[in-house]
Amino acid sequence: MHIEHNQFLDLIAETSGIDLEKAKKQLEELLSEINNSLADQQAYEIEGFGIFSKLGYRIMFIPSNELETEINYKYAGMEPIEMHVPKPIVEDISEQISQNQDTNPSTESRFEGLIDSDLLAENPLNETEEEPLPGPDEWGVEAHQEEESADRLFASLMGEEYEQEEIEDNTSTLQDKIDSELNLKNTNISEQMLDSLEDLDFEIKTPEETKSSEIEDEENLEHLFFQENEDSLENNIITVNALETSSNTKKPSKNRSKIVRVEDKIKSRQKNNSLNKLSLGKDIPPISMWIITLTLGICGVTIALAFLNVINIPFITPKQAPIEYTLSSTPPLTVQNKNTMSSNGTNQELAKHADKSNYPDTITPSKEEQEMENTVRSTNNDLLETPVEKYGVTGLVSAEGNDGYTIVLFTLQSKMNATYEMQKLVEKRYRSFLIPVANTQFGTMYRVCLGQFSSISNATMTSERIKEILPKDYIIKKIN
Amino acid sequence: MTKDFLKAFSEVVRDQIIMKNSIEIEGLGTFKPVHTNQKQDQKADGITVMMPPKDAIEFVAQKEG
Repeated sequence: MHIEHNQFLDLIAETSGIDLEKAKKQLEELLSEINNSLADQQAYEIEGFGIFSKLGYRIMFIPSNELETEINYKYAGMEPIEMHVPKPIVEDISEQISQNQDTNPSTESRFEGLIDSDLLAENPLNETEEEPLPGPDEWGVEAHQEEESADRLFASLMGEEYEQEEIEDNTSTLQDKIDSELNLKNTNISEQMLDSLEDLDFEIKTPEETKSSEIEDEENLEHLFFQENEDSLENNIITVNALETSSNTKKPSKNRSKIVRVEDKIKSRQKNNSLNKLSLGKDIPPISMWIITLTLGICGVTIALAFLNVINIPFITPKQAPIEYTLSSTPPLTVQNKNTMSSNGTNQELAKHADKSNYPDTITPSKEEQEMENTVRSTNNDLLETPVEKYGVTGLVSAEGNDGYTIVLFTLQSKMNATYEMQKLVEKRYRSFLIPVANTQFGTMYRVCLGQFSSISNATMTSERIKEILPKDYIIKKIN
Repeated sequence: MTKDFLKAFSEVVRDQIIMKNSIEIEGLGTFKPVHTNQKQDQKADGITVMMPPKDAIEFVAQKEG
């Protein structure tokens, strides 16, 4: 952009606060003074701005330092940087060679063909890596501060940290170097081993010898490798390598494939060991154990159900004990199970047996039943006076007659009803008694029986005689 | 001619040069901004020096007549 004279005057008026006319006048005064001094071949200086001078016919302006710094304020801090570009020494050598060639022509043959001056000029011998030239990024105030001095100042402020960082850096670099050297050594050793093994493969043997030697080698190797120290693969590999070296001197017929096979065996064995350890650690039972436990559980449940009489399994489900019905001291009406009845005992003995019986399920009669029993006793007391016969329809029930037959009139579920029916027969002086029967479907049933007979024919004949009191569906059954 | 005028004169010229504007003053000449990029310079002792960039004022006197 170009600013003309009038615009310049306006700007001066604005900045100084002077009127435009006054500014114009003062500018004219200034210009006249400058021109006068220049005409007198004198320089004219405006303080803080610069010097106007005249050399011949040429007018010059030399800005003051203040003005220069103000103009270059954005480049403040940027100072000239020295560039270290050493001269190539090859040039000197080539010069020396050329000098020697001039002075000693005999040395010409010595350097002839060995040093090419053109090549040396292109690729100098002592050429060092040229530092990259600093670009615009390095310009600035911070670029010219010495890093080391700043670090040391920081270290002095922070104490030992600067030294520690240095030490850490040194250690890290040293460790990196050591690692790299070790890696190189390892690779060299492995390559040497492989080369030695490959060299050994070329020896020739007869087939029998080779077979026998191979077998021996394998046995020896396996014996050595599968010793107790099979903890780590690295150890085994080391032993393999050691054996390789030792056997190379004694038995060179061994080849690498064999060793590799042995290494594979070691690896597989170690894998198996690790797997076994894992399985032992987890304690996972096999499937057979699950099956056995399931079957045992099912069997246990079924046995328990059978024992609780939910399922009927022979020899497991307990037979329901026959219910004992005792009428205390009334021998004729005492109905005993066949187990409790003795063939030689009397009614009283039977009653005693009944009292001493070991059946747990003793039915305790209710009040109504007790009343009925009392009535039965009163009727039976009369019958006690009469003599007891073994078999018969009337009279008292004899224990001896229990080996015979009887007429079953009713089989009732209610004990009270059965007792009532029995009482009616007893009142008519018939020989009547109850036999409890265990039924799986209806529980305990009570048979109302009439008479004790020696045979079925006697029972049938008697039943024909007393047809009036018998129901239609009576049955003749053996008592025991 | 007062000090304030001289001060204003130098300030206006400086600001316009910083803003890369050229100033023409009748009866004197023209002030022009000149920018010099960074450059490598070799000293008399052979040391190469990287010179920083620089802005300068170029004055062109008015032709007489």
